[in-house]
Order: sequence, then C-alpha cells, then structure tokens
Amino acid sequence: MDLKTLEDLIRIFEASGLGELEIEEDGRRMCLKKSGAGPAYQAAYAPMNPLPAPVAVPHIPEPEHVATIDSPMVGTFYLAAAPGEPAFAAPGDRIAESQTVCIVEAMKLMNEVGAKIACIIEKVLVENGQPVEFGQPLFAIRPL
Amino acid sequence: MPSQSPYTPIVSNPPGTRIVGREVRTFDEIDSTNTYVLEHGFEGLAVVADRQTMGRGRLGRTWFSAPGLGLWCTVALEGDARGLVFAAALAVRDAIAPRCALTIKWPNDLLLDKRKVCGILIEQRGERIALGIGLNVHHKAEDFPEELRAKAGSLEMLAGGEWDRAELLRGILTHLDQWVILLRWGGHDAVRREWAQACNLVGRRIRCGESEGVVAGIDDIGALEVDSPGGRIRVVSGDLTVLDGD
Repeated sequence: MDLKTLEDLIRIFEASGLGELEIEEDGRRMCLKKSGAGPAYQAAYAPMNPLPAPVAVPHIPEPEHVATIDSPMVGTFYLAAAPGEPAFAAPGDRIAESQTVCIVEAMKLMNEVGAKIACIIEKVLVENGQPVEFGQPLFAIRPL
Repeated sequence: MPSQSPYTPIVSNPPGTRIVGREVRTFDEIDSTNTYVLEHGFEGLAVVADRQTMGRGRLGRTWFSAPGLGLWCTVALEGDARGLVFAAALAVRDAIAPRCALTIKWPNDLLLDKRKVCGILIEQRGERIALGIGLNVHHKAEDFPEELRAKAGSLEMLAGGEWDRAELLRGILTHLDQWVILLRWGGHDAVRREWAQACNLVGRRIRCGESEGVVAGIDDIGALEVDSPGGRIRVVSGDLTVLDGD
C-alpha cells in the first residue's frame, strides 16, 4: 500500500462511522482506531446483539411463602360449632393469636383449632364436614 | 337457686383420687359444665351441676339435662387428649358395673337395654380439655321429651332400685382417675384394647352416615376400618348404627 492510498484510506475512515478498521495486506497488518472508539463500538453493536432484555421478559415475582393453619389430627372438619351457627372464620377475617378458627372432630373429641399467630384468613381450603388428615392445611393465612 | 330435685343433693367432697376430681365444684344451675371447664378449668377439677341450661352434645346438639334427675359432670384435664375417649367410656361402665352391665356404643355412648343412658362429649381448647359426662339417673319415661322416649333411658328406669348421684360421681371419678393414670403412664394401647373389646364391633355390619360395610378392625386412634362395597374406608366420626342384630 503506497502513502497516497494510505492517506485516502485514513480520510475515508475518519469520515465513516467506524470506530476501528483493521487491514491486512501482503503480510503487513495495519489498525486504525478512532479515539473513544470503545463506547462507539459498544453502542453500534448493542442493538444487533441484544442482552436478555428486562423489558422482553415478563416479571416473575419471587414465590411468596404461603402460611397455613394445619389440622392437628385426623378427623372431620367443621367451620362452625353447630349447624346453622356462624362460621368461626371466613376469608378476610382478622384472627387473633389463639382464636378458634374451626373444629376437627374424631371419636367425639371436638378439638377447637386455634391460630398460632395473629393473621388474616386468605382462603378456607377444606369444605365443611369433610374428612381431614393430620397436618393437612385447613386455611391459607396472611400473618400480621 | 335452690335445687328442684327431690333426690339427695350431690355432695362435693373429693373422692381421694390422684388426678381426676382433686377438687369438686357443685352448682345448682349452670349454663354448661363443659363451657365452665373450658373457661375456668384446671387439671383435675370436676364440675357438677344439678341443672344445665345449655347442656350440649356433639355438634351443638342439645343435651337434655333435667333438673336434679341426672349426673351432669365435666372433668378438666390438660395436655394430651389421646385415649380419653376410651377412658371416659370405660370409667362410666366400670362405675356402674357392680349394679348392671352397660354396653359401649362406638365411640363412647353407654347403653342399657339398647337405650342411651349416658353421653360423653370431650372438647379441647388449646391445652385445656373438658371431659363431659351426662348420665341419666332418676328419669322416668315421661321425664324425657317425646322425641327421645324411644331411645333414651335412665338407670332407675331400666335397672330399677335406688341410685345415689353422689355415689355414682365418686365411682366415676375414681375409675376415670385410674384409667387416666394408666394413659399417662404409657398404657394407651392397653386402654384402647379394653375399650375396643367392649365396643364389640369387629365383624359387624354397620352404617355411619353414607358409609356402610363390615368392620374389619379398629385402629390406634379408635377409628373403624370398614370394608365397604367401594373398598376399605376409615370412619373417625359420625352416628353409628349396627345393622346385624345386637
């Protein structure tokens, strides 16, 4: 490459949007680099090589720990003390610590199940009168 | 309020037991002995009333507690309630045994001549346990509401003779004390076996709610293992009817 060709090449490079130009000819290598080329390079290529874009991926919240009130024994689940009486607890109710939320009966032992912590009832997980197992979640709750 | 009973009032002296009935409180009238114990009970207290204004059974059913005619009593215990269902039924059976033989209807009603003379209701609230016993003693047939006459009875109606409620109370507390001590000393299996034998249900055809079948066995907690047309099921609560004879 003669000097004239080199001068032309530099002018074209300067006028171009390129930040860096590397030429190899007859075993000789030449590298032209504009000052501050790094950021320009990054900016130029970023759109062609998209990172895992936060805007493109739906936001997945961290799994929330679901607290429950569980059955202390095998038995039958009752939401009220007697048929026709109001339920001990319903979704949205604010429950104090130790407050009775249901009865689990086995062998005519009526066990009043109390909340271990103050909470709000989110959901009743078992239907009235249904059998339940030991440790089975009865209510989903939000601790206060 | 003075007692309306023509019979000897229930005396309140403790029976000299180790746990059950260490203190006995008597009331002429109370809403429910179980409610009193759930609210004010402590280990071993026995509460007796001549009349309950709101006596109750399973699932809030009214327990007919005629003034002065029966023994309405609740024992307060604390902690583990496992096995108390068995102990309570056995204690009543044993206390009456010198005079007549009551049968235990699963899980813990006591019958005489197929009529219910005693019901037991155990309620647990936290650590506190109310073990309620309702025993019909002096009733005549006409003392029961009409809807109960065909299936309820009293000791005096069915066994005859004179019965003393204070003596019955002492007997029941004394026997219950022995069964509770056995439970506390790790004798759950022995108590359960004795009770299961008294229930006499294995091999019998029963109906409980919508379930029907033959009782194949009784498990650790006293639940029935029943071979029904749909396979083996487990019955832990409900009103039981024996379909094949006595």
